[in-house]
Formats: sequence, C-alpha cells, structure tokens
Amino acid sequence: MRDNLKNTVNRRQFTKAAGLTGALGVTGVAGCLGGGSDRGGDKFKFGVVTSLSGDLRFGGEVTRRGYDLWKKTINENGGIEVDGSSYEVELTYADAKSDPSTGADAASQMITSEKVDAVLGPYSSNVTLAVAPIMEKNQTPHISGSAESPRIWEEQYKHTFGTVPTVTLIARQAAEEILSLDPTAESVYVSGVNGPFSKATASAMRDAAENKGVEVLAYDLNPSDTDWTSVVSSAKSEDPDLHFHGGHIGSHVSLLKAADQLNYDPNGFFCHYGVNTSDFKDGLGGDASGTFGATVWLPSIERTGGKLFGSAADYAKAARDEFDQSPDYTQAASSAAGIVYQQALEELGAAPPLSDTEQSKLVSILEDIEVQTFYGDVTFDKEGDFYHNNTTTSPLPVQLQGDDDEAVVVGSSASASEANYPVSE
Amino acid sequence: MVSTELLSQSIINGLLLGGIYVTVGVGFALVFGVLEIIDFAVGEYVMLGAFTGAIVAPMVGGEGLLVVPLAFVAFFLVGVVIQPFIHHVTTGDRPMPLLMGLVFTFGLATFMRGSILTIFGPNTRNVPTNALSGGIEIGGLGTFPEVRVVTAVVGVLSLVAFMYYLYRTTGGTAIRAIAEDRDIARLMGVNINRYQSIAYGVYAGLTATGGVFIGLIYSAGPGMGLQYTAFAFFMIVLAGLGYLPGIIISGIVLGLAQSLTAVYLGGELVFFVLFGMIYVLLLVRPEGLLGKGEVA
Amino acid sequence: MGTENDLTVRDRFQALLGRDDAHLWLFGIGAVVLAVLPFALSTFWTRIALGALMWIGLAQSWNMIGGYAGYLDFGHGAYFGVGAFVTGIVMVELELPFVAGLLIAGVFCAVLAYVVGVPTLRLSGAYFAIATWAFAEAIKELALILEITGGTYGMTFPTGPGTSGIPLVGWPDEMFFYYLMMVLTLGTIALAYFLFEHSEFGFRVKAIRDHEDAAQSLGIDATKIKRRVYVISCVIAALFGGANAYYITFIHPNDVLAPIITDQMIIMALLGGLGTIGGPIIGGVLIFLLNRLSSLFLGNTTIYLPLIGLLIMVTVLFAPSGVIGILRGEVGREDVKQNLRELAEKFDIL
Repeated sequence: MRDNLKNTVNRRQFTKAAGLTGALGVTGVAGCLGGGSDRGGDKFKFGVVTSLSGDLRFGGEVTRRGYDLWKKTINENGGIEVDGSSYEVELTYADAKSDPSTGADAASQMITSEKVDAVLGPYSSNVTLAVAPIMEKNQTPHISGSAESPRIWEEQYKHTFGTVPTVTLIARQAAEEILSLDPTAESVYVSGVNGPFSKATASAMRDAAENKGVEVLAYDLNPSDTDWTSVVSSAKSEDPDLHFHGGHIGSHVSLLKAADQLNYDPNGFFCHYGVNTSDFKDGLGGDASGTFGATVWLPSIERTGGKLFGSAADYAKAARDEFDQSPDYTQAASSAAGIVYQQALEELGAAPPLSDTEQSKLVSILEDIEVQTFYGDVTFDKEGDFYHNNTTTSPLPVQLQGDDDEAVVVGSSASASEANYPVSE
Repeated sequence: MVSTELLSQSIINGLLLGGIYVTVGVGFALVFGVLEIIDFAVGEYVMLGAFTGAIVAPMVGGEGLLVVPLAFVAFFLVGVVIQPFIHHVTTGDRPMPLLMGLVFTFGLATFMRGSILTIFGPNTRNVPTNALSGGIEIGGLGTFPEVRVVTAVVGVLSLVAFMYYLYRTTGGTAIRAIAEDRDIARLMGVNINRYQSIAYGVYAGLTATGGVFIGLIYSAGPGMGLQYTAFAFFMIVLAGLGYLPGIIISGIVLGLAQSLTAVYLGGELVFFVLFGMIYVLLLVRPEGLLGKGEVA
Repeated sequence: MGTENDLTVRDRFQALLGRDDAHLWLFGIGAVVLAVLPFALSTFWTRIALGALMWIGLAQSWNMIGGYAGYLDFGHGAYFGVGAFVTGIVMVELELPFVAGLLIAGVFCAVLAYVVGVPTLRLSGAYFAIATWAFAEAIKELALILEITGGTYGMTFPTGPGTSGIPLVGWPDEMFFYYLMMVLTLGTIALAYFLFEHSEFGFRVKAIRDHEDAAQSLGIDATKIKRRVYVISCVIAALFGGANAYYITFIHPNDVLAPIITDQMIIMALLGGLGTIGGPIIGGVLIFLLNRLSSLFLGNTTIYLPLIGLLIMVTVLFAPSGVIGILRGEVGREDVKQNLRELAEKFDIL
C-alpha cells in the first residue's frame, strides 16, 4: 500500500490534506484563544457540570431543572444584590455523560476557560468524586444540589458542599418510620442495586431495621440490569412483612413489575430514590400507587423560609408553570443550592467576577451559612462523616396515594396523612 | 413456599428469561450468523421496539400487544432501507469490509440512542397491557408470569417460522445461497440486493417485536439497548455461528445460569458467573455449545 | 506554508509519507511540537491535549492486535481497567509511589495477558472477539464485588507531593500528566513503528494476519508471535490505565472497565485507518476531540450524540479506508459520486 501511496500523491490530494490539517489547526488555535477569553463583569457566572446523557441522565435532567428555575426567578427579581447594585446570573452547562473523566475535564473547563465564579455540582457520586479534587486544587466553591452518597463527605473536601442530606440519614429515618406503621412489621426483605448510592441506601435500610429489632430476612444486592424475578422469587419464599429496595428509578420499576408478574405481595414496598418523580410514575403506568418512598421536601410541606420563593407551594407552582410537572426534592434542593450561593454572595459583598481571594472567602462564608428557604433550613456540617453536607433539612417518609399518585407524608409527624397500610390495591 | 418450590420457580424464571433472550437472538442469528454483518445496532432495535410500544400503545386503547404487528412491519421497512447502506460499506474495494460494517452500525446505534434520548427525554416509560397481568399459579411448581410466557412462546414460534422460511421457501434458499457464496448466487440469477434487504428487514422487524415484549416485561428507556447488544452477540456465538436451533439452547443456558446463580449463589455474582461461564464455554466449545457452528 | 513553493512542499509531503528517514523526521518534529505545546495552552486545553494523547496511544495499542495481527480484541479495555486498579491497589494498600504502581501494573498485566492469551488466541474470528468481550465483562463484574478494588464504592487515589515517586515532581499537576502521556504515547507509536513497519517480526505478524496457515507452513510460529503481540498491546493499555487513574484520582469499575473504552479504541483505529501507524493517531485525535469537546461545549442538550453517530456513518460511507484515506486524497468529488452511484444500485431491491 505504501508503494502505491508514493506515486499517487498529487497536487489535488495535497491541497485537500493541507486543508484538513489546516482546519484542525484552526480548531486548535480557536481553542487556545477560547482558553484565554475574558468575561464581562456585569453578571455572576456559574458553571454547571451535570449528566444529561449516560446512565444517570434522568437525575441530571432533574438537577438542571432546579438550577434553571433558580436562575430564571432570580433574574426576574433583578439578580443578586451586592452593595446596592444587582447582578444577573448566568449558567453555563457541560454534559459529564455520567463519566468521571468527562466530568473532571468539564470542571477544569468551567474554572480555566469559562472563568466561572462558582460551580453547581454534578449528578452521580462518581462524577462528583472526580470533580471535587479539581475544585480543591483551584479553590473554587462547589455546591451539589443532588449528591446523596455518603462517600463524598467522607473525603472531607473543603470546597464541596451539598444541600441534600446524605442517604444514610434519609433512608434510615424514613425506614424507621415506615417500620413503625401499624401493624408493626416483624420482618423485612432488603434488596438493592450494587452501585455506590444504591448500596449505601440498602445498607441504611438494613441498619434501620436492625435498630428497630425487626428481622432482616435478606440483604440482597444485584447488578442494576439484572432480571428481578430471582429477587422476587427469593423474597416471596421468605414471605416478609415489608420489602425495602435501594436503587435508582429503573430498578424500582423492574422490581415492582417482576413482583406483579409473580404475584408477590408484601404489606408494602419502600423504594428509594425517586418514588415521587414523573419518571417512576411513567415507568409503572398506573401501578405506582401504594409505594413508599423517602423525601426531604414536598410541594405541600411547611418550611420556615421565604428567600426568593415564598413557600414550598410557591416554588411548586413556579416549577409547574415552567416545566409542566411537579418538582421533587432533588429539583428543590438544586434550586436551594442556588439560593445558598445567592445568600453567600450577598454576605460576601463583592461584585463579579470574583477574584481568587473572594472565592476562598465565599467558601468560608458557606461554612457558616444559615439560610431559610422554601426547601428548609440549610446549614453545612463542619466536621465528621457528613462534612459539608446539609443535615439540617429533615427527611420524611412518603407514600404515593390515589389515582394521580401524589405523594403524601405518612408516619408520626404532625402533618402526616393516614398511610394506606397494609397496602391494598 | 418450600425450598423445592423455590427451585422449580427459579427454573421457570430461568427458562422464561431464556425465552426473552431468544426473541433478541432469532433475527440476529441470521444477520450475524448467516449474513456475517457485525451489527452493533441490534440492541437499539430492541429499544426502538419498546419505545414504539410505549408511544403507540396508549393510542390503541392501552394495549401493548396490538403494537406488535405494527412494530414488525414498521421496522421491517426500516431494515429494508438500512440494509443497502450496510451492503455498500461491507462490499467493494474496501480494505476491511466486515469491520466497516461494525463501525457503520456503531454509528447507527449512537444515532438511534441519541435521537431517542434527545426527542423523548431520559424517562423510563411504561408499555401498558390489559390482556396480560400477573401470573398463573400452578400448585407445587410455581408462578408463570403471563407476559413472560407469551414472550417465550413468541420467541420460539418466530424461530420455527424463520427456519421454515429459510429452509422451505425460495426466498430462504436464496438467502442461504448468498450466505454461502455471493458470487455464485449472483450467477444463479439471485437478486442479491433484494434478498439481503428482506433478510435484514426481517431481522429488524423481529428484533423490534422482541423489543415490544421486553418493554411489556420491564419498561422502555433510551439506554436499555446496550445490554441486549451484548446478549445478542453472546447468544449467537454460544449457539454456534450459522446454527439457528442452537439459540434455543444458548437462551436456556444463559437464562438458567442467571436465575440459579442469583438465587443460590447471590445476586451480586450473577453477571460475573454468567460472563465467566460464556468465556470458559467458548474456550472449551469453540464451535458453540452443540459444536455445530461454523468455524469462523 | 502558503509562502513556500508548491513543488517543494508537495515533494516534502510526499517524502514525509513515503520515505523511512522522513518518518523519523516527522516523528521528531511531532515530538518537539508536542513538547512545547503545553506552554501555549491553558490548564483546560492541556487536559484536552493529554486526553487526546492517551486515546492515540490506546487506539494504537488496539491497532497492534486488531489491525496488524488481525485479531479483533473486544476485551482490550479490560487491561486498561486492570492496570488502573493494580496501580491503585499498590498505591493505597502497599503505600508505594505511583511509579512503582505503574510498573507492577505493567508486569501484572503482562502475566495476565499471557495466561489469557494462551487459550484465547486459539480461537479466531468472531469467536475470539466474543470470548474476549465476555472475559472483559467478567473482569468488570469481578471488580464490582471484590473488596480490594473498593467494590462498587470505587477507589480514591492518594494525591499530593511525593505520591508520584519521580524526583523533582512536586504536586502532580496537568503539566506532569501531559508529559507522562506524551512519553507513553510517543513510546507506543515508536514501538509500533519499529515492531510492525520496520522489522522481520512485523512481516511475520502481517503474514499471519493475511494467511495464517500459509505463514505457518513457511515455518512461522504463529502461536508464539500472536501471543507476543497480544501481551505487548495489553501491557500498553494497562500502562495508560494506570496513568489515567492517577490523573483522574477516582476510579470505579463501571467507568474504567466500561465496554465503551474498548469500543472507542476500535472505532478510533478503524475510522482512522486500520493496520497503519497514522490511522489510530488521526482516528484517536478526531474522535476524542469530537466526543469530548461536543459534550463540554454543546452540553446543554444531547443533540450532539445523534450527530456524532451520523458523522461516523457518513465517514464510513464515503471514506472506505478511513480518515487516513481522506488525507491521502482518496475522497474527491468523483469518488463521492462513484460511491453514491454504487450505493444507489444497492437500492435496486424490487
């Protein structure tokens, strides 16, 4: 082939080759120039690294709605007020594809190319764990509105914060409440997906049962795309009072469909994450009713705050007007992450763009921040296993009830509704 | 439930799971095993079939089964139109024709998956059915989920129909002749383009039909295809390339291995055992489980 | 370039592509350009450049077994992942520096590739492809259930000064990783060039690829040669895996052992031009940049995904021997027309 090649390169072909090489070169040069681009100082600029494609694309979409709604609302209100002048908010997105190495590049892009003032975090713990070290190195503040995996906070990253309490707390507290429903469960079957978030969820559910003295018949972890009839058959032969499941939405849908196909019918299913999302309800058609879930926020909830959105109901209305569907707590927590920045920037009192020292100061402000929002009170832990995680917002058990599958709070809290338990069709 | 019932239930689960794999493998046995097209889009036809079920079923009274004939015809036509492209990239004076088919279908798969994600969003979607719900309990044996039983039966029936077509009809003879030797087939007056397009169309139609059933059993989502692409390849190679009845055997082996591992060894180990087993089986039985495949 | 005389430029270009000493010149110039490149780039673009370098190396390593030896390895990514985890285990559990981890990973994967290669290389064609695929999936599942890999929680690498084990390197930053990848990639290209284009060994490998039986009857020990190519190519993938893991600092089986890693290497090598030195370089750069930059810069929708799919299909349709064919000028207007005519004929299905 090479001999052939020697004799066939002529002018036309050369021109073409040169053209292509040139085009690549131009791309490169444009890249370099892009790298040094300066930005206007009239807006606060936030980088958003989230996963719109890949395995965790559903959650990525939810966080995006949360961030977008915050941006839209705050800009309608004139922007973030610093020393008497207001600055609008600008968001710039990158798709991390649920892939840590793409996420890491995206983080670097946000800092060095886009020169953002701060970063709103990715969905999925794997991407977060690759992004956080880059935030440390560049001392850039970073709040995740969706990270629930306890693994992130164990790493003690100084510049990374999260508005959703870790699943260790959410799943355990909700599970304990569900186990206390009358008639009290005596046995529980715990299944879960063998993934970082899901395994943490399943093990928190198991801990809850053991704390309550309820017999754990099995702790059964599976790959996410396994066929769930095996789990259902094993569970059915153990005949538990309750079935707990830790995973993402796709696995809940597959598990509950397999249960239906095999006539497996415990007194109730408790699944986490995502029972109160359109994805879960769409996936099960009309059969979602009765499923228990966990949340830290609902449209109907009463919370103290009123910054930007007057109440939970106001936020829910704004979300429905914008996206035509009810928000869940991940979306709310993502919007709340924006509000936390808003408060912190007001306290900082510096106009955009933020200098390196101002960014560091912003991190110190975040450490001590207390914000009352429609989502609840947000503060960040300063030490321990949940370092920089907001553990203030309290988790609640919920159940999908009625034809429209609205989630209602159940359990022992003052505002709780009557649970449909044992679940009847 | 006593433990023998758990065993028999696990066997039922495994066999019916094998039936699901057969529906994915039937068409693929033809394009990969006989026509030697390395088609990375196979799982995406499953995904498209399931999505068709999710979108169309609500328009026809919420009955997913009614979508089956539509899915077959629609994707038959899609396949007929796509095949000339694949034929084109896998022939001519290209250095590695078979591999160019691989790259082309990889692009096709990315296109299909990306389009569905972009148009319909990331949500998981239900494929509804009223005709099939719950399972039939047979005392002492276990529960037979209706939708899975129907799927397995359809999988096996389409294999039978397919073999009939391939071995008992003119069209089938033409396809086998092309698979044997394209040039001789052409000399014998076979319209190569036509029969290759029909074969690929049947494959696309059958695989999408399988997708509707898989949607009924699980649900539809834009990322579901990848898993079935892997399974389709494993099914066909275990069956023995070109040996169609072998896919029943490989379906049963994969289904049972998965179900019994999950129940008796632990759910976490399922795919490790399954893929490890496929690897070892290929080493010891390089021409498929029954030793009847062609040596590639 | 524009100021120079057409004839001399053309001659030089011809020489660069055709003559062996010119290959060395091209390599040398390339190396010098790469060595000064990061000084002109921001941190972010340095990351992009080092990612491109890594994928060139990975595509080239697949090209060795897939392109030169003609064995379609669908499980090559397993060694990328195993290299990552072995490096990590050495650094975390044995608390040794990165260099030691990388070396041990290389040795470990050499042994693993040898042990796997002996039985697996007896298979050929689709059976080899699918067996390696199943092997890689099994390795991924194993990493998800083992304790020592961190299981499904993944593994975080030690970072900071002193962890690299290389004198004079302080905090391993983008510059460090850029040069690390550059050395690995240039080494891979040089190795591929001397091994396959410039030695007796290369002729034997290609003889086996083209006619294994005939080669064997000429006294070529096909088994041994295939095994050598397999082991070398797998070790290279493992070294990149280890380096990448230390760079990203967090690894998870679902990421570093994902089938998409192998798929990307294959597509890069095939789309660039299989069994050539230049092909994987071009394929690696183009596909990596296309993929990564589109997800970063067009990342507020997913519309770029189907577009990438479409682009791959069009390239295959009109550039039969890959992108390197476009560079060689094989895809002119006439060629495209001819291609379209032939394609149209295949629609004659009634």
